[in-house]
Amino acid sequence: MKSLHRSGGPRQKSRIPWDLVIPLIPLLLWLFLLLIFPHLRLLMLSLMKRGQKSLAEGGIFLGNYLKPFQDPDHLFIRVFIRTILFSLINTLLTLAVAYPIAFYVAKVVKGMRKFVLLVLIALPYYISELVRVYAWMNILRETGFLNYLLVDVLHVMSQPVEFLYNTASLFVVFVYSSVLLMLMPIYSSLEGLPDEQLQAAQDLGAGPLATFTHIVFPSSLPGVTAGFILVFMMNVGDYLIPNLIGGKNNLWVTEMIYNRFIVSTNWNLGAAYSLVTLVLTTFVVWLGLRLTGQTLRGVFSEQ
Amino acid sequence: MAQEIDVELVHVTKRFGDLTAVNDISFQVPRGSFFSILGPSGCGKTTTLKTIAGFEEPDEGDVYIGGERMNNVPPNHRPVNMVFQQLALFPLMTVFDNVAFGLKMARVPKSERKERVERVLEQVGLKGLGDRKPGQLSGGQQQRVAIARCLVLNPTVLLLDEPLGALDLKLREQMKIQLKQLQHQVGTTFIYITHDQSEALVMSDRVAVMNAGRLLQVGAPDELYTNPQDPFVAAFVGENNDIQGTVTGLHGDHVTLDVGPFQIAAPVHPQMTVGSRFHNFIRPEKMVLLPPDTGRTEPTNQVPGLIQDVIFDGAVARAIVELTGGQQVMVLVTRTSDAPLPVRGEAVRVAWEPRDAHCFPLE
Amino acid sequence: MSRKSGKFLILVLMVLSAILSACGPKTTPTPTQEAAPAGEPTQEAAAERPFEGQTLRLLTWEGYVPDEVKQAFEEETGATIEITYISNNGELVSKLQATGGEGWDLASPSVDNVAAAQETYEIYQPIDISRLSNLGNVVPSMVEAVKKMSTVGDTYYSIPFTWGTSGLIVNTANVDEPITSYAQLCDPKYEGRVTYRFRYPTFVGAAYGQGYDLFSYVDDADKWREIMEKTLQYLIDCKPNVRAYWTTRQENIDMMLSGEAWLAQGWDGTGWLLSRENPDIKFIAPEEGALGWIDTFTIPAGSENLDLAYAFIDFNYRPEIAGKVIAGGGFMSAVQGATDYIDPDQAALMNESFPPEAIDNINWYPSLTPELDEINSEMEEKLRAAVGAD
Repeated sequence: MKSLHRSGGPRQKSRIPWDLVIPLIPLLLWLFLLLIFPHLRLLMLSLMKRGQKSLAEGGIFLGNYLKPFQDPDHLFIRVFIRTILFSLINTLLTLAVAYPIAFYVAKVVKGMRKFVLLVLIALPYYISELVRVYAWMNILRETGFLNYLLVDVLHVMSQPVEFLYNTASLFVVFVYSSVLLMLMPIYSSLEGLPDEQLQAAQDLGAGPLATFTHIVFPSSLPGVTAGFILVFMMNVGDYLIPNLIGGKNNLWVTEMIYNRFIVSTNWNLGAAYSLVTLVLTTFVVWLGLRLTGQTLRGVFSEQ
Repeated sequence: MAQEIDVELVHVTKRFGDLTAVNDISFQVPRGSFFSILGPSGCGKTTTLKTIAGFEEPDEGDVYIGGERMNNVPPNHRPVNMVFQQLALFPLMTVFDNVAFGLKMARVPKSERKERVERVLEQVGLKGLGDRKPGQLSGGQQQRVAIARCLVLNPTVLLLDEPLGALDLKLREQMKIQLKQLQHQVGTTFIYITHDQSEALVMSDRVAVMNAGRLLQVGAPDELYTNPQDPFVAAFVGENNDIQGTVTGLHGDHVTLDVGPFQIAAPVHPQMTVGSRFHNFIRPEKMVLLPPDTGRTEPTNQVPGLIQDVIFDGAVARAIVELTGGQQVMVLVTRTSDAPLPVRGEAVRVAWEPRDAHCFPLE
Repeated sequence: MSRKSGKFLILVLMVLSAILSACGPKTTPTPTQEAAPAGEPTQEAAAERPFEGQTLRLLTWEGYVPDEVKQAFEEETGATIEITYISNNGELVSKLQATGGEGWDLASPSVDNVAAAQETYEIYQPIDISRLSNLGNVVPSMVEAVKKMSTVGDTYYSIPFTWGTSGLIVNTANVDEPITSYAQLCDPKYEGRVTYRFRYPTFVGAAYGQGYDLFSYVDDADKWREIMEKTLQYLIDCKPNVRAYWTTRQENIDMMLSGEAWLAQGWDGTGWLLSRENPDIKFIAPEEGALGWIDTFTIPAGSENLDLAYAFIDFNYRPEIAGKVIAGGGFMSAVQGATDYIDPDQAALMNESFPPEAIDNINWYPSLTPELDEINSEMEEKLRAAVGAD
């Protein structure tokens, strides 16, 4: 991006670089129609009273934004905190699962086997998320496959147990569904780490652990951070898994938004909820980057 | 001659699947010497080096470093350090941290670490650059960081895998001299891998020439040049002309080789019989150009030809001559007198003494 | 760097495409042509088929257009039916609200939803009953009730299609006492063996189970809130009994059939479907009254094929077609004589669950003001968010 700015030069500042803009039109359109426009619409909706036709007609109304904070039960805030906290825990779990796999595929396996492994890892994600979640429900439920295995085949347990509909099952399915998103950026940054650096570290006296902490992990950090952000945002924004797997108590912020839009058809309040969620979640990501001394640009340009 | 030996390979063989990368290699590297392994790419020299470093285990044979058998000792426990072809500096660490890395791994106390790193940085001429990141240094400076990173650990042997390959020509010339001086200065044994025969000849005390997994000849650069023991060495080390022919007569102190369009005299080789085919190598500086019509009979071999090209290079010039029958040879013309250089298209005779040539049987 | 970033981009695109494909539309457009093998007599019939090549876009519930009905209609008219399924009335209203009533030719909202949605969003158009020759087959009192409930200003927007109730489903193999009241769902002896939704119908059931006649307070928001708050606490205390809140009908079926849940609050149709799979499972209209809904035919404001939409409504008013709908989906029909066309076993199940006094006892869902809707959503969320035992 830097070179784009430089090539223009200060003198040509006012001229629009059409040669750059024209090929970008589809992208700009896409960005506008699918990202900017819907969010502007949400913003407009959130600033109106329920039933208000336009901003010009009734003026700006802030009540939708105040509502989550005025509620004596702090329901939205409590649900939001729970969502963020659980998403963070899940993202850490996902990291723990994805990292060794990414390392194995990027640094241990070679040639055709690497390609085959990558395809095998990505393949389940071409099936609808809903179908994968149902598959997990049939594995975990009291009359499901896992209980069949433990009780009837292995005789480890005498009575079937309900594994589904609790916070643990929520994490299992969450990790499963986010592992690819974490794995790919880590894989990509590890791929960029030359084997020679690992050999050099070893040659200079580092054992496997020291090589990991001093060389491997620091150079994969941009990938880890990218994966972390992707998975965290996906988890916060997930609807299906908390709803179908999470059981009685795991109300997610998405479901509250869904309820506003779909169940009580109060789009205005729903829009405010989603924008508040967007801003607060972005703030959490920003805070995380600050605390680990990184910048978003650093994370994605390293890739 | 009780010279101490730092590294010794005994009948080392390494295979990758069907490919025998290193085939029954044995050599010794004397303490404090600059030892090069020279060969074209794919000849097995890097595998040999990695076997010494410990990144590869030999399938057969033994590796000794400082007199101790090193088979199955992991790289981080061998008293050798390696400068990698692509340098493999740690890009996220400063120069200081790169150099200090090995000391840190060895749990050298911080104050001593600092002292040693600074000393070695000064030694390689990087004083004051410790705070930079490798990416902010020039190619030559990065080179020296890579070397300093190893030297700071006082290794028995320093292994260098074509470290000059990535540098541009001019820098390469400078680094050749600097490396040689550095080696003298620190006294550590260097084992240096290269496919560039000039690097090997300029820097090394001894050179091992490898081809296709085999070790062909080990010797001082001068010895390899003047007395090659193998046609590959003759052709690979320095410039050489190869005039091949069939033995038609054995005459005691020399033989007659039938080249086709002409016949020449050549030195005797023990495997020669009438009818066997042989290489006959003559260095360009051992050949002279004579006018086509002089009556001189010295040197013994005289073959008519036409000047194809003259490559002028200051004190010397190289003449490309097409001999009768079409084979081209290169002749070194030393400008000792004011005699004019030959010109393109001029008819000449190329002459040399049979004893200056080296014969090897053709495969 | 650029080579690397290119590679990363490809990876990202791979991942994104996987995710996007996974998040594909929840709508299930039925593939066209599937039932028309090449060379069949379709060609000859073309002249008589009034809607050849046209498409009817339906916004309706799963089970309302059984394959058999779909095929029969397509065969007879030459039109193709495309269905978008909804899972609750809010979703239906939201979809139409988003497009201003465009995108579908016919929808099937519950009647208690129609007037409020029309008043706020103007997403429907008036019904012209003169275009329906089979309207005479529909129970007249139900037609009148639906007209009345869906009236905004001086026009009405709905006519009846099916009706059904929400009540109790019990597996008598596990429950050995008679089940007659919503209150029994919260009996501690059924800990972990109950399933219902965390939605409004559960609150209504629980309110009646506690003795509150909730529906009589539709005009008194304060009283409504008071009852709902009490019911919320009641349902939070009841959480240990709940195995999981079901959200789709299939989840309800799965939990009952597998034996994981013994008691449920659910739809009568679900109950009868379960009975046929497992005769131990029964649908029971509780003594406090089953909760009745009427689903309707309503024409979106942006319908592009009115003729076809009316033709489909009229088609469904034939008793033999209505019979197929209730046989397939397990609902009750507004069409008289439809039960003549269903399996006697199913008819028997319906009669067993609904003796005449049980039908009289049904509490019909009233239309709600946005304010009450808001209270309901709030209570639903508080129930879901309240942390009880997992």
